[in-house]
Amino acid sequence: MKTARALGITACHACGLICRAPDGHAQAACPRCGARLHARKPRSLTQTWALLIAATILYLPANLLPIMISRDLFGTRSDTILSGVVALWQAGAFDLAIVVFVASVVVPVIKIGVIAFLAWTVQRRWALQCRERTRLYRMVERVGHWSMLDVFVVALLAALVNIRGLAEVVPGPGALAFGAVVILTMLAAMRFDPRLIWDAAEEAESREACDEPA
Amino acid sequence: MSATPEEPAGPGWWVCEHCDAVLRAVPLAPGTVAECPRCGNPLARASALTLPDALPLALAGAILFALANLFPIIGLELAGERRVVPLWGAIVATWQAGEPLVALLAGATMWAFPAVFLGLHLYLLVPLSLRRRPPAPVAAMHLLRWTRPWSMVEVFLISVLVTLVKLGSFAVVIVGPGLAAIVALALLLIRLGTLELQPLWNRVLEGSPG
Repeated sequence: MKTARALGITACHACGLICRAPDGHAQAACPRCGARLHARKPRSLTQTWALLIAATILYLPANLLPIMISRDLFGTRSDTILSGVVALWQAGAFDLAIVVFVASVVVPVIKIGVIAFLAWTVQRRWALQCRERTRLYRMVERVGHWSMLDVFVVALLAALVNIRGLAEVVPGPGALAFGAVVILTMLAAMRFDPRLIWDAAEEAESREACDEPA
Repeated sequence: MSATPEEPAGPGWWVCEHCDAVLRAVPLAPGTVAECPRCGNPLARASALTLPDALPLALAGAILFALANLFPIIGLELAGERRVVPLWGAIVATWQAGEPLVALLAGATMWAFPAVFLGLHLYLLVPLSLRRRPPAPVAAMHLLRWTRPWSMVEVFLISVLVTLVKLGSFAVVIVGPGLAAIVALALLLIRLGTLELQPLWNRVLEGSPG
């Protein structure tokens, strides 16, 4: 199977128009929409790693700091992401506890782990399991925004439970860190170029040292 | 439309975004998805929203968005006081609670991006349906592409359900008509997100109504 790069063409990343690839280091713009043409996302790995490292650092305050502080007549209670899940579970809402646990705990960890794995394997020029790794990428892209769930819950609770002196919910510092983790991991997934996975396979193929099934 | 295999161009060809494979486009049977044989990426779906269907959906979406902002989604009765929250309510409350950045984040993803997303569809599709070209179509199309991944109304919908359960155990929770609007809006935005942008690019730029 021929790749666009091998054929000297590029599909515009913005509008999809198939264009002749610019020669060498020349820069060219898509004749239809004006976007800069490039065969691969420029500086993809550098940007992916930078966003991923930022997300990983913020993941700590996102989970350690309270995302929500509730005050009522009986005192003040701080909730982290995890303690919120536990509270749902103890209230008997097992299904929702699982939904929130998956969206807020499992998805961010898997996202950071999978993108790091993909970037690392691309750097090591892995030529194996290209199809499976591309599928992993699609999965990460699809579930990315669901982690925003808890930020919305906190915002809704702050709007509903808002009677000063009696009962009050305010967002904690963890909410911002958590929201930032969601945004940063989404950006990292967007900046990663899955075609890099296949470039290594193509190189290996041309060296005739590839286990990739045809 | 007879591109030679040496020079693929135009709508007769697909270039896979995930593995760079070049494939000859094939017509799709109803209900099928064309998957890239190399990496499995869906290249085209027969179920994708077509241009003529997009305008009524975008109009309905704009109405639902307005309803979700005018009517309460959920409310709470506590110690004789009643609080109701329309779509914008959660954003304002977060702002007032001293977390402007969280408010901006929530405001962007559950309010501004969905609003801009719907607005851009109307901006492009209404003139097209009147056989006119919208002004600045390229900028509008780029904006449409950028806002698409950041509109999170369906996530907000689930967060409403989580909130209902969290509060249900110690207070009277009221479900307002805005919730129905949010349910419909979330489904509608998901459907609108399947609109294929390629034909829209052709239409807005080449101005070939039909």
